[in-house]
Amino acid sequence: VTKRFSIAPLQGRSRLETAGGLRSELGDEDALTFDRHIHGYLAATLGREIVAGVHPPGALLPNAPEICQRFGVSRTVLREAYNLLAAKGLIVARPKVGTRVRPKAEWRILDPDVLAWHLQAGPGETFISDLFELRQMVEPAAAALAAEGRVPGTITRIAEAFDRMERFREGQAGLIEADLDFHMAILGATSNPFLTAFGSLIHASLQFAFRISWGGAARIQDDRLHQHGLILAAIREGAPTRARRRMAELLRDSLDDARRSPPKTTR
Amino acid sequence: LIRETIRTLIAINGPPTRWRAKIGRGLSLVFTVARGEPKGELEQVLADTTTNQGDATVTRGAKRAAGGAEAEFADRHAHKRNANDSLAAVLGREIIGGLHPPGSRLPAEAALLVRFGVSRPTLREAFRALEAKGLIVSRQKVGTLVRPKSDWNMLDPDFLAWHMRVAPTLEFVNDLFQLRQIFEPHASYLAAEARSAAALKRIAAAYADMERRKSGHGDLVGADVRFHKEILDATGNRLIGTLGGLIETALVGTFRMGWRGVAIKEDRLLQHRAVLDAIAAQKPDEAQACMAQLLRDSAADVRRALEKDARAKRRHVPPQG
Repeated sequence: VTKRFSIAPLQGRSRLETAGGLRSELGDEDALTFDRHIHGYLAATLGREIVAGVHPPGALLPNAPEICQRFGVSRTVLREAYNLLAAKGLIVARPKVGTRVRPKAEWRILDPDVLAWHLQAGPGETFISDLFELRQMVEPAAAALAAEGRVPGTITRIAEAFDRMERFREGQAGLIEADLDFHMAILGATSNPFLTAFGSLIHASLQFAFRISWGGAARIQDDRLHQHGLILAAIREGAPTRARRRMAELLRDSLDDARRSPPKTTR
Repeated sequence: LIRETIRTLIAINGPPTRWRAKIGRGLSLVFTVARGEPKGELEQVLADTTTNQGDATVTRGAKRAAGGAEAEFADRHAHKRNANDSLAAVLGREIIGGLHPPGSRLPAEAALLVRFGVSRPTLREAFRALEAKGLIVSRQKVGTLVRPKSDWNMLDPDFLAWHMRVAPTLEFVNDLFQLRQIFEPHASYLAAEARSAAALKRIAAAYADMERRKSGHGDLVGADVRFHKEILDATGNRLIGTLGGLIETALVGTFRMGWRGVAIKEDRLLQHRAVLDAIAAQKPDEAQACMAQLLRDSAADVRRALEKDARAKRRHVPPQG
């Protein structure tokens, strides 16, 4: 599932901090690969620090030699990481002044990576409810469109994902992926690439929900599973209004689940 | 080689009349293009002392210099770009336009360095920008690959801007308006519900600017864009507010297609007014309905213009064979 992210963030946040050490433990071949991708890891680590407020908006990032030393990377790698973060609107480099964190409003917060960093950094309750508010706009509308269209291929995809959710309900590894596929298949029914792009939001919120609600052991509540079944039925029967309402209910209850679960920050 | 490259560039960027191409460090070549063919030989070779001017490779000089509201507008919305952003934009448009299809390999670094006449760090910077938007990925021993379309970050305003330059098709416009139809009426509902005096003041100010500039004097499009962005911001939801950047790009892009002419239709202006009034009166349902109607009618305007445009183009194509 993580392949959907353009940068695969490392588990947790501590690994890169020993990057210098880590690299020396690798064989030649791996070390080369590591160099190729290290700017991505570095960008993810700095990105998480920025969204977590370690470097607040308007602040200058520590100077280059300091960062290079901290992570054990070369100036080239640092520059590439900065380029990546700049393209996501998090920072701006000014000659002779240094690299500054941009105002929050300019962050590309819908970028899959930036979104993931927010969730990994331990998002506030506002962020989670904002996220669900956005899903509440997109997904019921998409469910209604899916029910209107009733394209056989789409219904098969949704039904197949639902089958897997039932099969993995006790929390096998495939549950999150099945759940994601269910929602993606509904977005896909719109055949609108902008709407399917919101899949990254669903991905992020599912990972977050499963982690905070069940401490990493993904398991779905019977009620929620049942609600997915109702959505599928409404789409299958070509009932747009009902599909829309069922999806809205599912999202509302899922947000309540997330709110009720004990506030746990990052692993 | 230059001829081939130019044909490709025209396919992607549309036909400017005058081109400036970098052919080496500090050297530029200026030539004219007529009917899709580079016409005549090089006009002049310039010692290129001015960098950071528009695209690193090609400047649509003549079009920019054409003057008028459209050119002025294009300049204002060209964003604060440096030369490297533009290199990313050129490569990004080539990928989106299908010159480098998903799964294919980008030309080798060495070839691109020659073609664009840039330094390696500059090219790398462009690569990182494209990587950040999910367009490419670098693989060990394979090179730089174009990622599948499903990985492209469609919600990135830069991506959208590149996409709009390449393919503002009817399908694309439909998709965009479907997206707006999903968010903006709901956002208007939330804005009316939020009852923020400060937000209302900003929406009202944007509307007042639209009314003042309705005949096209001054930055009418800017005021229009601001009206829609302020409503998204008024929801108080940061994620929804971010969509403003996307919708700004979409609006600027569709306006650039020239469907509306300079002035705004009186009907559309009144519909904006109705949305504002409903938000001010704190009537969420009414605000939602008014915005939905406004978007439906605007979408119809754009579609009509695109179809007219397509008909006009068909008439001008000489019979085949």
